Amino acid sequence: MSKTITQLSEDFVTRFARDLYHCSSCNYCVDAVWPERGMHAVCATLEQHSRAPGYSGRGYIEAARAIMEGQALDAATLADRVFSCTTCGNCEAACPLGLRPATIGRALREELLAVDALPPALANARDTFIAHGNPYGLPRDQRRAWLPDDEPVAQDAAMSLFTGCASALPTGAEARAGHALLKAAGVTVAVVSDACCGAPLAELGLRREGEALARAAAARLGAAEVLVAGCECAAQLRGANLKPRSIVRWLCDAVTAGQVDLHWKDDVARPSSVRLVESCQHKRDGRDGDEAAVAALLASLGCVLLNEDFPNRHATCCGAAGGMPAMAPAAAARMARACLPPTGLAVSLDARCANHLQACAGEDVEVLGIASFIEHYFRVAARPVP
Amino acid sequence: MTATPAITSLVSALGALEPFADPIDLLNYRRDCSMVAAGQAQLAVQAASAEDIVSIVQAAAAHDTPMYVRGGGTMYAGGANPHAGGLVIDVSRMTRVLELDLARGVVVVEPGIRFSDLTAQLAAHGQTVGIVPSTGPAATVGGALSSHALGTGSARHQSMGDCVAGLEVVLVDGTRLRTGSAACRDAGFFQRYCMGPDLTGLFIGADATLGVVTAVALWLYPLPAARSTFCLGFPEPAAAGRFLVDVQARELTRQVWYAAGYEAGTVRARVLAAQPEFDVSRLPGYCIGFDIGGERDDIARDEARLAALASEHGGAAFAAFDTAYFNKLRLTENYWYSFAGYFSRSRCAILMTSLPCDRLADLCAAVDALRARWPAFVWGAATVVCRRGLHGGVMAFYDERSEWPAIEQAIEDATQVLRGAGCVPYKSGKLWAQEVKASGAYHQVLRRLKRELDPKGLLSPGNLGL
Repeated sequence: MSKTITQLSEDFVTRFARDLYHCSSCNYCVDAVWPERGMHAVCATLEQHSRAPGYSGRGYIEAARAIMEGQALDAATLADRVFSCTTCGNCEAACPLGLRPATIGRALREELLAVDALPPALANARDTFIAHGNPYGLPRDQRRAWLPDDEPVAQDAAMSLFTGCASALPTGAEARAGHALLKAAGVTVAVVSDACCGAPLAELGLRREGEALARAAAARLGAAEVLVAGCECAAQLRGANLKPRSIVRWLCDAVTAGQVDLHWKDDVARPSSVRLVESCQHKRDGRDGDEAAVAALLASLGCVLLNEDFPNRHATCCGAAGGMPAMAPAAAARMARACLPPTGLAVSLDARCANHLQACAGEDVEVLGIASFIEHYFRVAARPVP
Repeated sequence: MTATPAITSLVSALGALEPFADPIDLLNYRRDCSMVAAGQAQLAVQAASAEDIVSIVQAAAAHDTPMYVRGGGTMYAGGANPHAGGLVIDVSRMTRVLELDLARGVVVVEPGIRFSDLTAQLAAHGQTVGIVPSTGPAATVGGALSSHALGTGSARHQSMGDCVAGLEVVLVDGTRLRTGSAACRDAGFFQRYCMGPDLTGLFIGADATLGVVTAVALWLYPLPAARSTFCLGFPEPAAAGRFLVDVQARELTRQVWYAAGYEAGTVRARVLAAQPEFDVSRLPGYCIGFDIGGERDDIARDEARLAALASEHGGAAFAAFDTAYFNKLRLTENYWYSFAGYFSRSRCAILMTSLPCDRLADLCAAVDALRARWPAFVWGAATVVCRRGLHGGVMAFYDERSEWPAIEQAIEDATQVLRGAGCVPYKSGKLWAQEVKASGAYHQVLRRLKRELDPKGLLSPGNLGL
């Protein structure tokens, strides 16, 4: 007989009862369409994976409420629904009442772990992470492989660079490019490339374990200002009371402040146009400002952006996050391709999104992370102090 | 819940359409936005075309399975709640614009298209539809006309049904019926009233009890060159009601795409939230907001005429409410967002009704009476001006977790109080079903039509008391 989930923890009820009972069933979180606001679809999972309503934000609310009211639900089926969620937060951006369906879905993961209902594909992902300290199953010491052997250890640097697994692995291209940009801008950073923020565990419903890793990482980073390459790292570290900035945001701020110059390289052909790809992690983390700053900077440099509106807070997820890549890789790939132009160059502001988009893009599309893009096409130099 | 043999067989029959039978996926189909008790479907299927609907209806009928039809699920009368169990036909994937005929001034759409999607597509052609919905991002065209929705109505266009040029409907035996001029072979939609009785009207507001709408022809209108909102304040509702009688008699509604009336409490709350220092002695007892579209000169002229007429009834321009609320509601927000503050405190039970303008004061008195009788809830009333008469909504905000039984009793009481005030059911669904049943000859004829078109009573049982 299949296992059921029949109750929710007191913590869950305390945190979410208001959301469950104030939901008006308006379905904005499921499939609202509002072109005037850039809302062409809400849920990438419903669009690309399954139309079954149990996969939607409202589905999570309805399921949680049903359990609260005594209905026994099949744990494996519910786990399939909630662990597939990319947790992009579009449903929360669409909710007129400010309710938190995606957050409820994430919390339901913890409840399902309590009844040992982690989907098999994610159990493998968890074991891989525990064994290797990264979701790619690569050796731990490969996290620093991108760093030049002769890189000196920065003592008393004013800033730390926390690369996270998404930029340091599997190729390390984004970590290498971000580091190079900072060096070219005359900034010395202490590189912390072998610590984990815990985001992959948190996504698996192991919130407390993820938070413990974030706190440990925060302790290593100390008092210096922290620059990060990955959005999910930023969110996790923020939960550990740090205030990280993305590398590219630092660069935008430095250019605006007149501390750094950015010019097209003369010996590299400029791209005819660029499509910037939104990262839902930016939206979820309330950092749309990073995306707007990058778009403004690139536009000011004469870069032709294909985006009609950027950042679009209702852009759908590329499928890199949540359980989708492990549980339904074909659907995750469709999500990625839906975010990309048919041809040309696409640039992602998040390292994990960039990795996923690169893996899923067709032959006619080139995908770069933002640091790699800037490092490839632009000369970066510290402006001399007068 | 164990599936019955009929459902198991129906799942097999609908296999190609990948129906949802898992209880977790069916949870979303339990109810709409209303406070009507949830139902429990045994099966749901998303149709992608009219051909799908024919197959689904025929299969369900062959298995004697009740069917409910669902669009966006944003209705406030429980019409989509599957109280008899059975199958929910979800038309939310039928979102295509089938025809856009600018010469005939008609757009034909599938029932699942959201209003915001449709109006955005039409705007590219400089066109729009008559009634601009307040829940447009989620509300579907098919759901709106099936349930007499968009109780917002329109001073210019009257009600949702008046915006419909014709329909395509699938009957329970699988017959595909086109109404209006399209009933004639190859004629297409261009005239609603022709040949004989208006069969289009038979399915508008029928809550899917007589057939399943698979295409809707709506009249097109050019987007107005300009839009403007302004508000008039009155000393009390009776004066506002007399003013509206005059407005409608003089046909000053021709350019008013939307107009709505608000009680003193709502006006006070909105104005003070925006301007805490506002002199409360200047607050009106009732306020009417107008959304006017047309040429700029015409808008200015109509605003002046409306203001002059208002002064004959003790009214005057009240810009504070326009700035604080009405302008944003009409031009930058929509219903759900504008009401978020209330909804985030609790859920909302709404009872939609229709009334003549001269009973506006009675409606407000009825709501005051409900406030006195059910003080645990926050009550409100809003009215929307039609070309003739008003549509109104009486709403009560309640805590669903702790106040469910009480709100059911309060809304039941409200139906009687409103009837006493001269109001009639609008958006009936299941909420007003008893009142529809009590209507005498009207309901008897409805039942005879139902028996003829749906002899086994499989379509939306419970709606309209059928």
